[in-house]
Amino acid sequence: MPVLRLPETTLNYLQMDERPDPTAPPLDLVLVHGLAANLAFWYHLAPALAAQYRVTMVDLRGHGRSGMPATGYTPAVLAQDVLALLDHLGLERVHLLGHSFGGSVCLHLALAHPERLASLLLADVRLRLLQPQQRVQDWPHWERLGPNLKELGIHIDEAGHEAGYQLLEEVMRFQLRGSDASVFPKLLAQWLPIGGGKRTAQHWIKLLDTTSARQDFIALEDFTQTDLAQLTLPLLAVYGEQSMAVKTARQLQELWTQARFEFIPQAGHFFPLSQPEKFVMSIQNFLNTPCPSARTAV
Amino acid sequence: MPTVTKIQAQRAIIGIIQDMIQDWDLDLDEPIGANSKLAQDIEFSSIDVIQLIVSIEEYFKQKMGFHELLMNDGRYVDDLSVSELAAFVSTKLDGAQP
Repeated sequence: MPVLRLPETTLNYLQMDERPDPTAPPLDLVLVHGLAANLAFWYHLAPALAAQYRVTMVDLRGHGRSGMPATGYTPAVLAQDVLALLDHLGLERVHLLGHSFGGSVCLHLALAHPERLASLLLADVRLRLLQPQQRVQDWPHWERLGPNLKELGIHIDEAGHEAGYQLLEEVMRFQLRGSDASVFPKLLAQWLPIGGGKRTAQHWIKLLDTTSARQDFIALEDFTQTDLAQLTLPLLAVYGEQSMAVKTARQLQELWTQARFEFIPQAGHFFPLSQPEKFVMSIQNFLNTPCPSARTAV
Repeated sequence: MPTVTKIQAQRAIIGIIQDMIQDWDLDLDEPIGANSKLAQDIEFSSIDVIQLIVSIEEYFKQKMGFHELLMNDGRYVDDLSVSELAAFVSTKLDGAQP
C-alpha cells in the first residue's frame, strides 16, 4: 500500500477508483476511521462508493500500518496529518467522511480549512464539547451487558466519565491474554471494535502504553459551539438510533439547523459495519443531492 | 488451461505472506500452507488482509475485486484460508483471458 512519509510519522493510505470513465475529472471522497480501527474499516463500503467517487482511505497515525510516533494524537494534530495527505495527493477539494473519533478529526480539518472541503459527513461522532461524559450506565442495555462482562472478569468503573475508553482497553487486554473474542456478548459489537485478533489488541495497548495517545484522545476539542455554528459546509450527520453518541447529535441539530441528520433504526455505534447498505445509501443520497445546507456565512 | 493455476497462485500468495510476516515473531504451529487460515493461524488483522490483497493485485498486475471474497451477505467473512484465496485469484485471472 502507498505510504506518505511526513517528518513526524508515516501515513498508510489506499485509493480506490472504479468509475466507469476514470479519465473524467474525479470527485474525491476521503474516509477517516475511528479509534482502534484502520482503513480496512471502510473496505466493504468502498467499492460501492468508488463506482462514483475516487475514494481515499487513510490509516490515522498510531493505527493500521501508519507510524506510531510518541506524540500527536489529538484530533487537531491528526487533522493536520489528513491535510498533509490531501496536499500530497493534490486533492484540492474533497468530500470528507469520518466515523466516531475520525469524525472529530474531520471536523477539526473542516473548521481549520473549510476551503478544502466540498462537504462534511459525520458518522456517529461524539464531541466532548457537547457531551463531556460517557458513562456506561447511560448506555442502552448496559444493565444486561455489565453483568455479562463481569462474569468474564472485565470490571468497568460505571461512574467513570470516559468508560468507553476503559471498556475498549479492558476488552483489548482480555484478547491479549489469549482469550477468544467470540465469548463477548454480541451487544458489545455495537459499541466496540472487537474481534480484531491478538495483533490488533497488541497494537492498541502499545499505542496507549508507549505514546501520548491515552491523554490526547480525551483532550477537549479545539473549537467552541460558536465555531461549530459558523460552519457553512454542506453537512450530513448519521447516527445509530441506539448509539451512546446520540446526545451529541441532538445538540448538533440545534447548532446546524440546515444540516441533514439521519438516525439508523436499531443500530448502535458501528452501523457502518452492521448496516452498510443503509449507510451507503445515506452517503449517496447526500452526495448526489445538491445540499441545501451551504448556508451564507454569518 | 488457466493462465495461473491454483497451485501457482497459492505459491505466490504464500511468498507474499512470508514476506509480510518475516519480522512478526510468530510462533506458527506448522509452515504456511493451503489450509492455513489468515486470522486463526497467521494472526492477520483486518489491515493485514487488505495489505495482502493489495500485494496480490500488485504481484499479478490486476485488480480482482476481492470484496466479493471478503464479504458474505453484507458482512466480512470471519476468516479465509490460503487455498480459498488461491482459488479466487486463479478464477479471476482465468476469467480475465480473452
